[in-house]
Amino acid sequence: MNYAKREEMWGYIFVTPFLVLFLVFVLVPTVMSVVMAALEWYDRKPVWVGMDNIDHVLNDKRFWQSVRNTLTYVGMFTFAAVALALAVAIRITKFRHQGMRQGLQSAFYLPSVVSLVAVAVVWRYIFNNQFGLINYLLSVVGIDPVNWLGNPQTALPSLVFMDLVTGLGVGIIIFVAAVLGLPSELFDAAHIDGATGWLETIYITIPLLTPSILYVAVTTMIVAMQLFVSVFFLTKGGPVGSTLTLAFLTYRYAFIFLKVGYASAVGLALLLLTLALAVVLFRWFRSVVEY
Amino acid sequence: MLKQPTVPDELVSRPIQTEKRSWRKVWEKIGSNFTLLLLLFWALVSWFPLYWMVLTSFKKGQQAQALPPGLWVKEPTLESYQHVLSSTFPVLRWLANSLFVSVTVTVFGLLLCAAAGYAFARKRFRGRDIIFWMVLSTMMLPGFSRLIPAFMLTLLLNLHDTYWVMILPGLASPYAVFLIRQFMLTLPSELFDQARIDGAGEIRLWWQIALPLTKPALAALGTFTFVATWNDFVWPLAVINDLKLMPIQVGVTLLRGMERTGRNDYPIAMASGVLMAVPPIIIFFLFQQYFIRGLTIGALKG
Repeated sequence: MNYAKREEMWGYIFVTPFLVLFLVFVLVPTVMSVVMAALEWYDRKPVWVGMDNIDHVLNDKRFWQSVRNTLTYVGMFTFAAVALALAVAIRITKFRHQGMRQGLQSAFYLPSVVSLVAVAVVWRYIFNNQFGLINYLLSVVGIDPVNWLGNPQTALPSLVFMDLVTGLGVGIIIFVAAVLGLPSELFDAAHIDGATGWLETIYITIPLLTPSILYVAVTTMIVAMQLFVSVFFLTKGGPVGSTLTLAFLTYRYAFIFLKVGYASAVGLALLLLTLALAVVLFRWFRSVVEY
Repeated sequence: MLKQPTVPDELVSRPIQTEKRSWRKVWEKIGSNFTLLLLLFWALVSWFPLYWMVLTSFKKGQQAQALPPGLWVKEPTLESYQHVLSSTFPVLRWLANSLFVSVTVTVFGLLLCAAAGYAFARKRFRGRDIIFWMVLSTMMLPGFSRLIPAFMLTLLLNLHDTYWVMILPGLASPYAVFLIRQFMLTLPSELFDQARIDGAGEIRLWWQIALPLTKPALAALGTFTFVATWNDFVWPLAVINDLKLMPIQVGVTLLRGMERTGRNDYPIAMASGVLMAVPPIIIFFLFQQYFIRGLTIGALKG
């Protein structure tokens, strides 16, 4: 066997174990997620129903409500998460001491390794109507208690806030590294031209960070599109459907109402919507970056 | 010999008008103090829920509803922990299940993905680029949309209510393969050539040269995988019904205070929260340096 042949054989040997599992648990389910929208299951046996599920979904008020809720959540969360992480990260890079910077990065990351299940339960307590901490603090200032999770107006923003509190870690770490990796000559040049502080941040740092901002925005968006755990533990989609999300609707149809075909159609919508948003973000960033 | 060059007067930079300058100084001061305040405020906000969870877990049932809420417990009690650990549910078994699944997925997942990443980075074989592109493109898809297909698939394979169903799907991580490939691309070929001349076989090249040099990425991914597997909730919730096989994340939903909250339940719920939060925190502390580095490799090189 010649060298190239051997090389090829070993390539396959190294890649095969991974590839088998990738095919079975990633690629096949991805393809199935498209096909299954056209199936309904009766007693573990699939029946082809064509566009029926998709028709139903498109005529379902709850589906459109969850599309609206999901997009609202994703919009608020992604924007706030990127902006806050960027602000905090840039401030972290101003510390001259390396240990200090690393300590801060770890400190901001730590809350995100705690499971969402544990976090959600703490927040149910903090948001509690009668003896929750937030309403207590409000009462000290003389504001009437707000039923954060029980009011259709405040429920979704409450979830955004709660997820922001634990969701900034990755963004901060990436932004800090990105800022520190920028060539220092640019900043020297800017200093000579008189750009310091705010000006430097707005005209030099942030434009140079666009690739990292895009990366963080896209990954944050993908995670946010799948909002499930906080809804599951805090609101169950309520009140009056104000926190119903696509992921939660998928879960509810599949595992509580046992309408697998219908749930698959909702899942497919989630997939397509995420892809569409990713394309929009890429386009938008490309039009902003001009270098 | 060398004459000190004289700088023409008009090239010497002069301070811009002093009045403007002082205003700018003021704004800068305000700006940097504002972002510093934001940083401190956010640090406080993001740590507070954890503090509140730990604190409440040491309170007695009724104290959790006291107004004003105490920011400190005078007489800490372990009652809630005793309640959780001595409940009729097999809580310790759940913790052990989580540990077993997370460790297994981490170890075998890393091996599989490191092998694949090595092949994509350092071997030439037909279809390599297409396969890699396919792996990469699935990273952009939301995992949740695979929940139901994967559920039906594992149901048809009769894998539900086994450890396999919690382990196998977690092993093949496109993100891990991508990260390891990026890392291995940077290794100098001379190392491999040299070892080959010295008679090292293919497996040894991978195990004794490629893997040790990829340690930072592997440590980061290991931490990441462990934490993600430990915290995974939706998948085991869907596929595990057997009480004995449940991971802690799913099991706790059955405990008092998780679903329904009555008068004395908050400390109990918080105690279970602390129990499931501790292992990922320990792992994070052990590997935090690698973790931070690993996260940034993927983002900055990608």
